[in-house]
Amino acid sequence: MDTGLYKKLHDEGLIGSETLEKIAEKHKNPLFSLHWELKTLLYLGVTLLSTGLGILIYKNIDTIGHQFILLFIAGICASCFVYCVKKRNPFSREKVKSPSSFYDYILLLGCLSLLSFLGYLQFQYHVFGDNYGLATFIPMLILFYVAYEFDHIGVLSMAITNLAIWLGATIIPYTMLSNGLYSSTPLITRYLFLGLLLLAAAFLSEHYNFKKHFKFTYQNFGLNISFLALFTGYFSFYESPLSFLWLIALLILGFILYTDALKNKSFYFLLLVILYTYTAISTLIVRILFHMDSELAFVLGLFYFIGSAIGLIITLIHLNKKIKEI
Amino acid sequence: MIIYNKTWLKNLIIQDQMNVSVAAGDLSKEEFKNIEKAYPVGFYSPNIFVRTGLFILTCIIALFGGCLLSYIFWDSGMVDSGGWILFLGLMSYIALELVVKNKHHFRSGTDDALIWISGGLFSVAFVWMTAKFNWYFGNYNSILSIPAAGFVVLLSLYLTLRFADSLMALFCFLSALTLAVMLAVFHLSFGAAIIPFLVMLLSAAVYYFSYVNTNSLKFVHYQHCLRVLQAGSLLTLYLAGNYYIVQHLGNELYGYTSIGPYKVPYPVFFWPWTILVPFIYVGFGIYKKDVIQLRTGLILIAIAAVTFKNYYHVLPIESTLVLIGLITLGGSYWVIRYLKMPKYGFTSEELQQNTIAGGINVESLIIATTQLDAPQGTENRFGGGDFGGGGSSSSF
Repeated sequence: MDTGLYKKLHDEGLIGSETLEKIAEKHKNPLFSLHWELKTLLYLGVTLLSTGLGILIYKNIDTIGHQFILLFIAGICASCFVYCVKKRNPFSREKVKSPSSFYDYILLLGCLSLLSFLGYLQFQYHVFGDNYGLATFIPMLILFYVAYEFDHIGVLSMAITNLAIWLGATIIPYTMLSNGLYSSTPLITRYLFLGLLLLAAAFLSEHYNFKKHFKFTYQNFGLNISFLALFTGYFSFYESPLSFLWLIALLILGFILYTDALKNKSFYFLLLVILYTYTAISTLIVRILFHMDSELAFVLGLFYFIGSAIGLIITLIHLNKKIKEI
Repeated sequence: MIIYNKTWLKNLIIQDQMNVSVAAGDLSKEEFKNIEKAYPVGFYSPNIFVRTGLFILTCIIALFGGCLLSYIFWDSGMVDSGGWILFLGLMSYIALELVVKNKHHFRSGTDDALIWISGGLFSVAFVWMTAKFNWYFGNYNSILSIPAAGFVVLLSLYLTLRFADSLMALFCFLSALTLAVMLAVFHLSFGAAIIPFLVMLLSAAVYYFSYVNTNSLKFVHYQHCLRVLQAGSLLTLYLAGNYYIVQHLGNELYGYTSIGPYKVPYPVFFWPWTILVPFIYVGFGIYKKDVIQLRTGLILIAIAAVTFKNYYHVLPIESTLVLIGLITLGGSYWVIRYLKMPKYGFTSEELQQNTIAGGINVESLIIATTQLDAPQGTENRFGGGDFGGGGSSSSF
């Protein structure tokens, strides 16, 4: 990269002299940023360390050394949190700028080692008793608290995953006992509930302007989970006449999320909603065509897919323009 | 040769560079708008989400359109031949040219999909139509054969030159390497023995070519292709001499001989190559301030470590992980501290805001997708009644 281009643009009157000087000054001492390399290394370091520690406890669980390991993990966890509390910026409802990328990853390491620590305590000493619901509920609460207190999206997504586990962990043994045989229905409704809960959380964080930037993470999880749950519901009740209710619910949800995505100018969610609803409508039409079971139906199906895909392409291009214009 | 409007391509390069300056805060938005007006770009290049959507939908149209055509002409008996595939390939290629020429699509998803669909159909047609000539070797180990590979190389070269597609360029390079290896194995008596060196030589030549020409005016429209080629050839250059790969490919080629399993010759050469080359890449990357060399080198250091670990068990896996994790954390912390004030032209701060279109922070997506495993791991520790036994037995 040389300054020739900028000089040319300056001669054409497109760039002001001040800008040209600023750029020429930068080109005298070009800076090479190692930002992303360092971030990747930090992330790698945190992942390796926490995985290694996890395996270390797992392998040494009944030996004398395990208490030292436990102490080591507790030490790491504590020092991570001490570092973060020292360096943190004060809490705010808005987005808090993180002091450094090192801070972000140290917080992540702290949370991961905290999870290992709690998991070990539960396994060895049954701190939370035999109530597995409680054993996943407490870490989840801590993770959500940390995510909000320190404003960390990575920890938030860990917390959401833990929420899913908590819901799953409390439901499975119960249904196993009550049904006597394996049925996935309660699981579907549970996951649907989880998805809608997350969507509600996304809506509320925006509505009450409380950590508004968390909305994306909530909505990303919520949208995918609820659509997948609805699809699973539809296919597991495929034979029942009520199965269409699932699809109708899916279309309604799709419409709500569609208007929301349009309002927030988020093309990512718009694309997801469009593809999910397209799949839903297509499964319905394919089902009708299968029901007809004739050669005409086959040809109609081919035409449907070609036509609908062309229509969707035009819609996508149009929506993209519309979002840019709003 | 290139299908796109060349003025627009040049203007696009200017706009891209100005975009970097805007992100770095050197250029004001008004200035950028003026430049946009003076150097217009008429391509339709939507953001990554639209591109993904268009890619998927184009594939659907091509699939069902092909089915429909085949169904209509089913009774004529033409469908069951290589010529039919060729016809379908031609149709998609014509669609591609039309979309690019009339609708000015440029990396829009539609053209990406059509490039690969027509290329794939042409290749299948070629293999189908030439299958009746007894060109194909009776060698059951290789489904690929030399004429087919040669055709793929030429075709991908053509598509690369015409559409300046960087993935196609990489594919062309890899298929050329495959062709060279097959030629050596089938036509030279000592061919199998020189594969690593042949690949190294070719990769080095391609790297040199792409490195020298990336910023040259002659190849100005192929900058993306050449940058991808740089990374690809650096990777193959290293992998050709990686101990694990040499051993496994040797095993495939020679099998178990009467003297026992295949042994890698010249370990004096291959081991230092496996370990040292990544560090040389990183060293050169830092010395020359070359992002491609630096990042390829960093990835390869990880591969080298895994290769070494695969043969020599110095420490158990968990202590290795903890140790390496601590070292990387400590090392990067030290570098961040050291570069707090920029030194020797290096900085740990980011120069531009790295967000993709749509205003989504890339990093949060990565954490959300990869860190999912961690809490699930802990879940196992809670619920699993049977793993305690496994844990205790392994430690005694």
